[in-house]
Amino acid sequence: MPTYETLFITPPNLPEDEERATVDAMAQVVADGGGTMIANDRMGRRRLGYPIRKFEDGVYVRFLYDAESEVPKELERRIRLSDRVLRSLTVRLDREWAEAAKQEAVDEARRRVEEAERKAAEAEAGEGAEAAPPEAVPGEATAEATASAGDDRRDRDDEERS
Amino acid sequence: MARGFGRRRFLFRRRKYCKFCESKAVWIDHKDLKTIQNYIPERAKILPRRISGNCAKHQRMLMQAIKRARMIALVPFTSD
Repeated sequence: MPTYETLFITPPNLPEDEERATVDAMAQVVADGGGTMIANDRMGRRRLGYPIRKFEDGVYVRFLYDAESEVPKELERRIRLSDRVLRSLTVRLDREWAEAAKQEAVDEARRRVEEAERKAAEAEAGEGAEAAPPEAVPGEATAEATASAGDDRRDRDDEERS
Repeated sequence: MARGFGRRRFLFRRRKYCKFCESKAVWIDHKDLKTIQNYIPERAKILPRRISGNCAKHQRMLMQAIKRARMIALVPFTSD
């Protein structure tokens, strides 16, 4: 079975539950078609290279899956029908690339599990001593970081132009 | 004199080489902005290989990756 990678962009102002519902619905298409999802990865909010439907940012989602060719076809059809997806790109990965991508996905998953375990252990150890462990902060921090990175780039462009 | 000039040029110009050949790249990922951005100058055009020194094979792969990145709005088509 070939390996495909689909990237799609959801609007940045989509409520979290709606975003999740959209992603889950798309993931269901892969499952229904007999495909195997290898990575379902929310790459986070990024600045778009150009505005799409007046949006300057978008939330990127990446699916990596093994499936027969009908699956990406159906997935693209569903994406086209959905008004919650701004743009999508499906690529069939050739063998070496697919293997590397899968390996990366496995490593990433393992890293995430380890991270969660470490956090759980820390929370257990620090219980009582620290009332509120810093949660939800990482997401915010990355959002800010990407936003400021985008601004930096614009500033640099301005300088070069003037 | 012409020979002297030629020699000077030879001495001062660094020979260009394909960075993707050096790293033995088999594919170029359209999500890998760190790599791709090196070949997108200010006007967001694709850097010609006469400048970058890429080999034909890798320039083709790079071109494909940049065009894909454009389609999914990771990089702009133009910027002014």
